[in-house]
Amino acid sequence: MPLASDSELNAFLASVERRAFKQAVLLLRDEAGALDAVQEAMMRLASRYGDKPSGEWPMLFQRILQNVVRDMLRRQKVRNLWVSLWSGFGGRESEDEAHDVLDTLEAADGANLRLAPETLAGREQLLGLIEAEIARLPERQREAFMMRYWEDMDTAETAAAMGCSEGSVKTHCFRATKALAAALKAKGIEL
Amino acid sequence: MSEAERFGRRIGHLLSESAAATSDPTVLARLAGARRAAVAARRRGPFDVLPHRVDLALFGRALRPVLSAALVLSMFVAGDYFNRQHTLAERSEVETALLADDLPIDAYLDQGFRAWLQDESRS
Repeated sequence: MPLASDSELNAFLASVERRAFKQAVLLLRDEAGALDAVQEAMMRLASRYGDKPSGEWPMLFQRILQNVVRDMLRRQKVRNLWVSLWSGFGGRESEDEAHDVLDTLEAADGANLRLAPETLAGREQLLGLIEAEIARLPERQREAFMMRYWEDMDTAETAAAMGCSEGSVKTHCFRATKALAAALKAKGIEL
Repeated sequence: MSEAERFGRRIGHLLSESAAATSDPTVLARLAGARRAAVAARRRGPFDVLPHRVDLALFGRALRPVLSAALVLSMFVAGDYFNRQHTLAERSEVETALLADDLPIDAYLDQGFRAWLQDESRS
């Protein structure tokens, strides 16, 4: 099979980069971290699998991105643990300073959350609301939901990628869907 | 397809739409930079290291000293070969003459025969 050219690799990466970025943003809840993750995934794909047929790239890239994001989430958790432990030793002031990402998100788009459907400016706002609600989901639910419904992976693939049983994937997806539907319905959004 | 699945797919579709609409120039520039770096760091196949287009002039210039050395070496080998063939031919002529002669070859080792030859040549 002929080796894909550099321009083919460039075209492939260009076709997936925005989606990969959005995916990483939703999972990491951090734009800078998401850019790092996408860059790392691109580098790994090119340096390790650049000689593979181009038909294999989409699946490989998806797997690499998931692994990179999962590694970053793990590091994030460890960092947060140390921060929370440290703040536990600190005084009242540092306790006030410590904040959760979720609180920040809530504060940032709190105005949007209370908007009635008829006052929504447009589709962009709707997408922003959906993304905010997805970002609020617990990590495993978010991961399972995105793999199943955005990346079109079946239950078995999702379970293999997440390292859990198919039953757990179904449970995560069910809860995520229920939570999202309820949150959007509360804002008057019916999908 | 269940209601929950339909809802999930609808959300997925909207997320794709949202991803495609990413237009922040800083993000796009960073992604383009990452893409270029990745293509530059791409792993090459075993045959991809060979040049795609051979520059014959450059190839000839690089090979000139090698060709000269090969020419000198081949001349030396050819000279040696002909020299050896000539020596062999001479030896075989001598051997043929000795074997074809009426006088047996052992006669040349006979002391009496040698003395008789000397006497004959004196007289």
